[in-house]
Amino acid sequence: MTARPEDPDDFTPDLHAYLDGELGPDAAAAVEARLAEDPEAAARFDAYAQHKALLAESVNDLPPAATSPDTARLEGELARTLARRESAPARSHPFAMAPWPANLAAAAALMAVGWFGHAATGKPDRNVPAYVSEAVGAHRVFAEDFIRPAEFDAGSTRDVAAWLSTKLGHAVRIPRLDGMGMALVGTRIHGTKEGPIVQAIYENKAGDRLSLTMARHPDAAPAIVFKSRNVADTRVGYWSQGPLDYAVVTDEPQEAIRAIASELQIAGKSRPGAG
Amino acid sequence: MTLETDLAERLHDHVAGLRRYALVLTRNRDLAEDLVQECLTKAIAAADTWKPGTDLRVWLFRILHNTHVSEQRKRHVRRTAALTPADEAVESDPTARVELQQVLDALDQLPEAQRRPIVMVAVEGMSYAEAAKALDVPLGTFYSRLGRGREALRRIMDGTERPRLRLVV
Repeated sequence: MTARPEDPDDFTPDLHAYLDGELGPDAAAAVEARLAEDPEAAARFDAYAQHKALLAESVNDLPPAATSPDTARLEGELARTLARRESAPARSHPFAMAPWPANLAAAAALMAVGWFGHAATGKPDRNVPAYVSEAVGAHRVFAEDFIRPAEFDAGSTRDVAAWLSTKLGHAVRIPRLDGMGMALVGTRIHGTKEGPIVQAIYENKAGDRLSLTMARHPDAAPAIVFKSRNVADTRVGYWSQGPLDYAVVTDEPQEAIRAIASELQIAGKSRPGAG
Repeated sequence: MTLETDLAERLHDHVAGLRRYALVLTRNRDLAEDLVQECLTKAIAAADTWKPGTDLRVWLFRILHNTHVSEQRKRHVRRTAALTPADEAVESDPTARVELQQVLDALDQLPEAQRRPIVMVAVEGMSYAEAAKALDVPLGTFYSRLGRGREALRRIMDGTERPRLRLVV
């Protein structure tokens, strides 16, 4: 385990890891030796162990919920839905070809090093601009995240728009896609080799997520007309508009991505600047 | 055993786990069952995001956890009628009942971010890696919250059990 918090007593983290069976034999032996000679640490360890055992026991002693037919029905429906997915052809999902454990490993690595990069998508795709590969990586790591997809939630995104604009080097507006049934979940900013990119994540009522990524268009580079590609088995549409590059990553078919791009281009023309 | 039966059985175990976790965290039977139902409803809608062959339990707990967060925002969960351990379950040992009550009350005093890792590890027996994924926090953050939470729990219990022995800041 590399990412340890600062602790006034460096030994404390090891006590927990030992209690929970997370240490290897050598580290466990070191903890046992320390516990044998440090009564204060041994007392704390006993307390942690006792409270853990009590909590585990409490479950059996809390009065259980009455069996709910609604829960049973939902459970049955979920089992059937998941069973269909399990027996469905592998390509039924755009991400199906991407090995999920590798994704998780990449996400875990990113968490551990606290840096976003090409690790999320493997090698960068040379057929698309680098920011598009980054956009796909950002989508796969964060947009699929149920719990904390965004740094700034929809409410605070308005407050940070000016800050995001400063980071990006150009006024950026986080567009509303409510008309398309997509509500803003929140935004993130990522540092990449090509400079900062802003990722806005949207969600429809079914919980499908879409990422809109914005990056500064390189000054000398020609404008990008709308293109739709598969990058790392993920559908992405991208284009440039004035000083900004855009990428939309979603499970929606190509036509939908084009519609979103058109919508954004029209919105961008009618309402330029930050908002 | 067919694939489908196997999946249904695993799911049934996981739903029991979701219920246990929700029950210890909320100490409210109805709220816990509501959370489980809403989690299942969301899971049905988001079934496409589950990758066959990956950890179904982690996936479900992530959804439950998300549900818990949004439910809290929506309803401002009240803890006015916290469940207490059932009388008959521990009647053979009255001190055990007091201890269970104390540890659950102490747990209630901790911030949500610390309660979750503690309960996941104690009640569901998840590994740190699984629990961090299910809670969607980096491993270092998980570790830090678990450690700080357990230490806070210990100090609260210390105060509860032996108030005159020590003053711990």
